Amino acid sequence: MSEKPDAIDRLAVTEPSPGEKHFPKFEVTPELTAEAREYVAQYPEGKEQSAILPLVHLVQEKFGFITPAAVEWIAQECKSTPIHVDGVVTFYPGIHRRCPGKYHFRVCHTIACAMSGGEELIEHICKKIGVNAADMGEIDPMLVSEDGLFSIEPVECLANCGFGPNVMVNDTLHSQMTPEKVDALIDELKNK
Amino acid sequence: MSTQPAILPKDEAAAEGKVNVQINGKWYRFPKGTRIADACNSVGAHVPCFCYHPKLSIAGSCRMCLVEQGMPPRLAPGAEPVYNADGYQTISWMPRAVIACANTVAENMGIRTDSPLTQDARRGVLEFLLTNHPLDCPICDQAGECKLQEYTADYGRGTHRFTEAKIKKGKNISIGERVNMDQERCVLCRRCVRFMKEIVGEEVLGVVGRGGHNAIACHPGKRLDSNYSLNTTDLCPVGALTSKDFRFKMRVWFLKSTPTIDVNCGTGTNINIWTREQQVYRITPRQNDEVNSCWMPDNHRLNYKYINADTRLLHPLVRTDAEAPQRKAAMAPTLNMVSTQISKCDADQLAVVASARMTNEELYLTRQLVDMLGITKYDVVPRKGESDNMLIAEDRNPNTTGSKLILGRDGSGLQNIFDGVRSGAIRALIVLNEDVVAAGLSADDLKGLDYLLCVSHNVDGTTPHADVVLPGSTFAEKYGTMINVTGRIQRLNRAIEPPGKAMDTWEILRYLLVRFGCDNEMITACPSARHLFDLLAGEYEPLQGLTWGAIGNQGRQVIETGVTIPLIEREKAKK
Repeated sequence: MSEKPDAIDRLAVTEPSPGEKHFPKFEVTPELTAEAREYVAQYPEGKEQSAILPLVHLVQEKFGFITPAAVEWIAQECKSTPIHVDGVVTFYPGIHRRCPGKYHFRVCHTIACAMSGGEELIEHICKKIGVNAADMGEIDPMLVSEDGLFSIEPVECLANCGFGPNVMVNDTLHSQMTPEKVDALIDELKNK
Repeated sequence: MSTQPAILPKDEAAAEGKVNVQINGKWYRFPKGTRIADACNSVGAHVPCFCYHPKLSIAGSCRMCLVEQGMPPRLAPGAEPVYNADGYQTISWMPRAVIACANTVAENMGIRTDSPLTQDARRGVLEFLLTNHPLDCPICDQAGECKLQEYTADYGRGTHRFTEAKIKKGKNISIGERVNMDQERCVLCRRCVRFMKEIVGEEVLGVVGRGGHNAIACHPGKRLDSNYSLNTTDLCPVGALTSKDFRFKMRVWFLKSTPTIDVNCGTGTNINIWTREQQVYRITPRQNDEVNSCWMPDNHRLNYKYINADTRLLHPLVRTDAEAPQRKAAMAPTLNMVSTQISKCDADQLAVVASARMTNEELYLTRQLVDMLGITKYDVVPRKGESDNMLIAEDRNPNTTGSKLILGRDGSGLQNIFDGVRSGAIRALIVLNEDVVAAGLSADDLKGLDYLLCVSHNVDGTTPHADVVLPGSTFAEKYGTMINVTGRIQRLNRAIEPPGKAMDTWEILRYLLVRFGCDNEMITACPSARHLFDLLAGEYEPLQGLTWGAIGNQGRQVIETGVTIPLIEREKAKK
């Protein structure tokens, strides 16, 4: 047997990220459990599994990303199995298994945005936050700056095609972005 | 319209609860609710499937079973349906194919499994399935029984147009104690996922990732360690899940499969033994909806190593003097000697420990022997365990029901025999296919005996203490019948020849009976276990009128014991 972790062991591994210092560590508190149970209670008995996605969002919002421990906790709360939650978590690119930066840039590179400068914007932001665009992986293309403040991820359509290129920073959508506007935005966030 | 028949086929079929379906131009009748795939396969129009399995829920994920389908046109308001001279409506064919596993037949439906549309659809599906497939058949264990390989040969293009780099996934991953996984070979039919969830009830497998990166996985730390895990390797249509026990041992096309039954518990799971040149390579379950559905437990499946083990007894072993070592001997003189020795024993001081692992035929001759010699102390060794609430029965003997019927013993009197041995009331013991040391007698108890005869296929705890050991055969080498816990009689078939000088127990018993002067020609001249079964059928009421052929490979219910098999009950309740 090889020393390298196999495809299944890798499910249990969280790649380290500088962004982690800006988020609390995943921890099950009574408040969190109470909040989760509220979600679960929305669904009829026997259909608790439906609450997996709301809980995944809840954990990601609070802790930035989904750890294997969180997967097991969600499975337990939703009366599901860890492998089922793994399936959900690995399915959506919007759900992170590695910690993003404090300010997460989602840059659209679907056709309309790409044609109006989205692809160049990705290169530009990478340079600005000091990461190498060539390091983007195929499955997990997110890059995090060394100080953990910024991360960038090319995404598909942000549903604002008429006003591209679009960049979503955390939950705020910025449309008709230019390199200058992005620079100004990053500087502003850095000094916040 | 005057050519329309008086009674329309649709009304005739409806009266029987059936529907008329045209398959490749011919009309057939099927019960309502039949799946298109089952309907086509039943009339010889083969529909290839990866994900469809009759015992699992429908996934419809592989798209391999696409067929061209048509229905009569929907009528305009007020219009009357028009029937042709045969009484059918014209079929208008749909422009796209439908999957045959998730759709059921309907009245006047048309199916084409050989049309250009269907062929195109299959070619397309296969081309996509093969884009990321490693095409490593020469080193793949599934080659020869791989559905992907077969369908590619039957329906594939032969060449592929995909020139980009293939997606790399996990290879040679140990996902369980007995199962290995190759994610690249997987066609994502999810049969294994559904089996673990629906049949076993442990959802340890799932699909992770998305698109081309989709792969079967288990959550780290929650491995595929169920006692039914090896069924996933049978279910897997490709070489993604392979049995660690069997992989790289033998190419499957060299193997011969023999239908027989499992003897590890009272369920009598139907199995195939896969052999080559007198060597057993693997055991797989065989479908029998009254006994084991399509499954079998791993520990029973892997309990075949003793058949070809070094501990097999190949010659009779004889101890000529007390404390002398056992020596190899020839069969015929040993049998002569044994009969002389037994006839010297006092019948009151002689006991027989038979086995509920013996076939009905062997038990029948045991019965003849004890009756002839006037032996009253005889019984079988009981084996009770816990039921796993699936297929493994509480009774770990495969033929307790047969033993009760033929020998009239179920193991409850065994302790009396053992007490007799300990107290010295029993001076001689004949042990047939059992290990009395494992059953509770100590080596010292056996040393107190004047005479100990053993028939055994392997060296066990008892054989070293025996005065004479006769080499017997294992279940893989036997013809015979057994009655399972539910009262179903089932056949064992010989997959390999007994090794060396080993003999079936019934043959050994027949020799002894001949030497003791048995005058029943049906027994003394009996050429096979099959002929003994005819005797049994004439003598025992539940077997009345049964023949070897009538039992067949699926068995026959002969006795109502009231015992049920939990997994089968659940399956029946689902229907």
